[in-house]
Amino acid sequence: MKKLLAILMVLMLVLSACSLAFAGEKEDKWAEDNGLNLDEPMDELYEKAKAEGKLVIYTISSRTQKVANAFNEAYPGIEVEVHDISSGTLKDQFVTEYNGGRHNADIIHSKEQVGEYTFEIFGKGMLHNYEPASIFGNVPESYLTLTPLMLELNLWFYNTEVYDACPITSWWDLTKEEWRGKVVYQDAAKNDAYCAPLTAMVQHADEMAADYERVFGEPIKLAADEPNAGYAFIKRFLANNPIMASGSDEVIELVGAKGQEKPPVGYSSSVKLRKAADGYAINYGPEKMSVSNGIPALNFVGIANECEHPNAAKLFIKFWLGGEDGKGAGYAPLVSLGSWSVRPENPNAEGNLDLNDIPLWEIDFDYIYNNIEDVRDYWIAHRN
Amino acid sequence: MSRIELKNINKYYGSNRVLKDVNLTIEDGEFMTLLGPSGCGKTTTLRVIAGLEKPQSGIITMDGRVIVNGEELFFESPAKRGLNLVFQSYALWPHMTVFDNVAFGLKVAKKSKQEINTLVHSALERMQIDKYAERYPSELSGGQQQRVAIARAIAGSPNLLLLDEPLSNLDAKLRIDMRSELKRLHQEMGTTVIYVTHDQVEALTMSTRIAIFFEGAIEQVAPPMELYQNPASLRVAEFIGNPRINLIDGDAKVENGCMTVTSALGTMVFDKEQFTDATPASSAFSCRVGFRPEQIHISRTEKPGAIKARVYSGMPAGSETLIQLVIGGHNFLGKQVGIRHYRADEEVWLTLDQRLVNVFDSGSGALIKLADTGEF
Amino acid sequence: MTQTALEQPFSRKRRFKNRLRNTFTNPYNIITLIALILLVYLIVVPLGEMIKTTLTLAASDLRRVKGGTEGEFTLYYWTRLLFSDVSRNLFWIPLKNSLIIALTTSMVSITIGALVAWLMVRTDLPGKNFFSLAIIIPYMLPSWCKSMAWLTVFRNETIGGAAGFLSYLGIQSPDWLAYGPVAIIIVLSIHYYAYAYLLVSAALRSVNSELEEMGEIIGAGKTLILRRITFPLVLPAILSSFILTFSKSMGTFGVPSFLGLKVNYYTISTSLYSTIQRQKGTGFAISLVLILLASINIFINQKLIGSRKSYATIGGKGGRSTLLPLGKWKWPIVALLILFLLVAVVLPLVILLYQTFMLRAGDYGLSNFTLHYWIGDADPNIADGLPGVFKYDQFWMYVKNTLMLVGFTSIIATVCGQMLGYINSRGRQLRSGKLVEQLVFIPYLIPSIAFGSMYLAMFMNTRYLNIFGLSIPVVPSLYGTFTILVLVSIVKHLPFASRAGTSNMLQISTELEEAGQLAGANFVTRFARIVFPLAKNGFMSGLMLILISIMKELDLIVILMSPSQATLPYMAYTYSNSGFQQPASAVSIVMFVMVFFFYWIANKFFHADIAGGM
Repeated sequence: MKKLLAILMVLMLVLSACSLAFAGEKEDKWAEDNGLNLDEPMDELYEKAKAEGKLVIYTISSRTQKVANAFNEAYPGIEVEVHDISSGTLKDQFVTEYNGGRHNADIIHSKEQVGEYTFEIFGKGMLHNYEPASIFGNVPESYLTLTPLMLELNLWFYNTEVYDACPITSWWDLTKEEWRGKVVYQDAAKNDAYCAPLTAMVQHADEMAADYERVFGEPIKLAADEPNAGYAFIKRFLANNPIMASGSDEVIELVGAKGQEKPPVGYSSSVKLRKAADGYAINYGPEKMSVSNGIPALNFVGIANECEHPNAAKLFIKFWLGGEDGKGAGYAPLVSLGSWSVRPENPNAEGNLDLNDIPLWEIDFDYIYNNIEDVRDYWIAHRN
Repeated sequence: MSRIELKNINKYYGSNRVLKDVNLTIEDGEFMTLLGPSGCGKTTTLRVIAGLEKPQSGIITMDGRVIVNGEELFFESPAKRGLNLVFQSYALWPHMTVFDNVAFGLKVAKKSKQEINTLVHSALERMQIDKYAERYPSELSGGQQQRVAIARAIAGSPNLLLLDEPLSNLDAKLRIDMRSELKRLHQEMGTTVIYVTHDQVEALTMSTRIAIFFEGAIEQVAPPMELYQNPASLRVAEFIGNPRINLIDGDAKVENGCMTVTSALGTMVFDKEQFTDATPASSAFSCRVGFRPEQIHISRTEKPGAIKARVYSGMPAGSETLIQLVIGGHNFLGKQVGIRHYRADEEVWLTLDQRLVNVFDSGSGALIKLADTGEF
Repeated sequence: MTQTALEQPFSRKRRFKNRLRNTFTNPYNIITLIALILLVYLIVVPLGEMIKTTLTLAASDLRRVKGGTEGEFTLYYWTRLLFSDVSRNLFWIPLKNSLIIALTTSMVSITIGALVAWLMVRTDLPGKNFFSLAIIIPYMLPSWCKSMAWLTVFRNETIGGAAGFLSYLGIQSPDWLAYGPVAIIIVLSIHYYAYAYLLVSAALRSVNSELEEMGEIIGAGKTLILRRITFPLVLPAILSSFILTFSKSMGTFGVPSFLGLKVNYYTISTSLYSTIQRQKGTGFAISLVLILLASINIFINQKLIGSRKSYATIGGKGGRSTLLPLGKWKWPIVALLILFLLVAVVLPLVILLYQTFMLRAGDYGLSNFTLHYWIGDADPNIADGLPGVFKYDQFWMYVKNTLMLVGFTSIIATVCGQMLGYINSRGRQLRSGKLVEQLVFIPYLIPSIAFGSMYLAMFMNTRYLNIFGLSIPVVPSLYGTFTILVLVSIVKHLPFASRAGTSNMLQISTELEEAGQLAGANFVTRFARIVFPLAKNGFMSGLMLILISIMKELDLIVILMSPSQATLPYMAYTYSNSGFQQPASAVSIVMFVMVFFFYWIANKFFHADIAGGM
């Protein structure tokens, strides 16, 4: 055993001698040299892109292939490779390749909710924004920290067999006795999409406190281990025995399965509304929710630093967002129930709520990134 | 056709020294038996010669060629030593037929098919098992497997044949058959044989010489009958012979080239010619008188010079009768050919030829008086 | 040749030359050296890397440790795990839960297993042939499949969703039975009793019944004999099964994740899983605690049994055995056994199978019958447009992945296992042999889920070794590749493979090899012509058993999986998590059929003994 230990020590020494190669600091210059700050017309970009001949996209959505197909029709001569990768893996894969000096991907498409891409990837210059005014001129400033593609939300779903409208209109409802053990959530310790809204709640604790008074008719009394109304919600919510689902689909299943007498309500991704066609009795009603439904998850795109096909990437991004008028074929595959464009010019899916009618908190990646881990720990500490 | 010389062989397993300065020369054509109780190092010696064990020190030469030099960590590979070994367990390869078992070494040596055929069949015929060539070892009896193992070992005509307790797994009758078989084989082939056993009868009946091992060291090397008649030490004396040698305590006194031994058997005087190198020049010390049961002549009537003894019990066994005798509190065994009936406590008279008696120094255990050798 | 025929005075130079030559021409040394290098690279280095990760500050945690710099030494992760506000829920409570589950599961499953073993070996129980097969079937269905079946039966309205079977019949099962520790213990027990059964029955067979008869002669009663003679004799086997069951239930992830997470019931392995994806440092610290617990467990057991080989099967040939007549108890016991098998074997399978024929989950009526989940075409209104498994290209891809994974892994692992077995059996007394044996044993101590995460950390990025200014890649980036799945499965199964290899090689007497050596055969010839032909059966049976084990593996690879490499267990697990119960059950059934098929082959053609490598 002593021998084993000795070997271990030696190996650890060897390992600590190993070092990872990090890139230098020429990223800004590269972006400038490749015109990522310019707003070239699409025809001009097409000519340059044809010279590059190829484009590689890492995406988290299967719909991106449809965009690529439309792109091929509109701009023949550029071979587009789409890699559909799960959101948990994509970041690791890109970073791994990047650090290994392999610049495979030109465009990265993923989801940002907690600022990890903003601070750990964009902040280090591994990805660049591309926000030409001809496309993003009318997009609200708060969505422009990363090049935005569209928004998804997590919303409260209810069972339409039992309820005519969403039975909850405030987060505080979830702490009431009548919803004890009847709320489906996911483990915020594991899932950022469920931790981020709680973090926003802590940030906007004043609004939460005011809403408490509105719901219960008296000001909130904070216990010693409840620093503010946001934290107080987390603690009291957990004390009310929520059910922890292991994925968005499971939330829908638990909420929407038909034939239930006392179905729970559940927080799940807005795009899952399509499962109503799948035999689930589900709907959401976020308009009546007081204060906020949470914070949006931003689908963003970025151009990889030192990628091989920057012009094709720029062209593709412009095309993806529907071209200069926003009505182009590139955005069409993205039009669906439960997702919203950040561009006013883009079409909205039929029957989709107006984004402005859904109360939301503004994205503040800086706050969330720096506080989410504290909220997570608070969540874990009060989990059972 | 091989002369083997072992010089100062030492072998350790960890800190356990299993061979202690083993020196042994095996002459060409000899049938040398390594004999000793279990765990004495005899099998290790055999495996060192075969090349399956590596001694830490010592040199082994084969016809003058060094095959082992422990200090220099030189070990000739077993295959190049021109020897073969019959394992105690036979170690027949169960997935090969008898023929393939015997042919394997020849195939590895890349002999021609025809030559292999000839050699294998000649080996099998010699061992009288040619008819089993196509069988698998599991389809053979223990004795037949033994023959296959020997056939495999001799097929390549080794210069040196090593046998590791080859008969220990056979029943009593087969063992006697195989003994004579092996002795014939040795005489016919003229190969040098080294044979390991713990069975002294095997050793005494088959060998040209015997090396007797105790605790990792060789105690005596001698032809079988010399070992029987003049064991170099008390340990050897007690190990060799069945029934065991009788030992009776006595007092010895050496002076003027004469040794006087006084014991329950009376007083015996031996002269210088019968001394060994271990006999002290002059002193008085305690000793043990050794004599074999068959050397005692028992008479039911009183005889001049005979010693009176009492029968403790008589044990007739057909071809011989063993008699437990008592003289002055000392117990010992006598043996007579044929059937004799003795009563308990019967009085008898014994005579013993002094020339045939051994005397050992009680302190060192060494032989200090030689017995006459020859046919007795 | 450095030695001439004549004797020469001692030469230090020749000694040195000969030493080099002896060392490097000895095949045992070469194999051992290669094995040692590989084992260090694949076991010790990842373990060291894991330890290092728990003590090194990661970039994403700079926001937690104010003023820290990336890569500096830190005790933050250990402090957070053991002495912070979250410790209680992150570590201590899950630890307590795990210990309770592991202890109870061990006791229950060993009681059942040992009792059944005793009935099978020592009594005149009728229908033994049937029972001997039926009893190990539960082992072939992964434990998490059983928890899926469990949920199907007991799911009540507490968590919402489709009704369970009992619920459908109007019976509301209580929460404590449907979810949480009781459910987990029951499901694990009807899985792990197989270990105790296999080990104890082997031990019972090796105990000569004359020992018991001796007790009868001196007038001891039956219970006294059982208690004072039989029990002590099989005690080592019972303790071995305890180690196995205990460490397996400590490390198991699937079952507590299905039955515990929804009601906030965490075990150390589910806590590990949820932590490790967020924060490697803390997650690895949990892994290390698990490894430590496993080591302590084995250490205590070794002290109890007083033998280093305590975890090994008690083998040996059976003595003469007299069967105890059960008398009037015969048929009640048979009925009880059949009832048990119904619950443990038939019911889960039937439920899973039945579920695949239900169009909508929760409706158990005949009107709901469908073959859609087997052979249906894609329909956007059923299960997100998922076609029936046999019509689904991805399913066939997963079948192919699974077969590739088990094929590669089991062959390589078995070959390595035989080689290691060769080293172990031939080098028992040597230090190198012992070192190899100890190294190989390490993966056994590491829970699957922690082992997977260890490899994730090790092979995430390409690593370079800087020597004299040269960057040499020493660790390739294997994340998301098929290779890493194969690699992790091989190494994790090495203890099993090498144990099987050792017992296989021990059967081949060294004298058989020495006889070949004397005949002039070199190492390769000896291995090819003597050792391998004799080891063939053991080789094939070891291979099949590893194949079965990997076929149903989930815990080990769940962390490393990427969609294009997914295997059947992973597919079933993901479906189940996405609420597609029927496809999940269909995939599980297919998997079970495949496992059963391979077991049948192993048993029929190679006389494989499933207890062989335990």
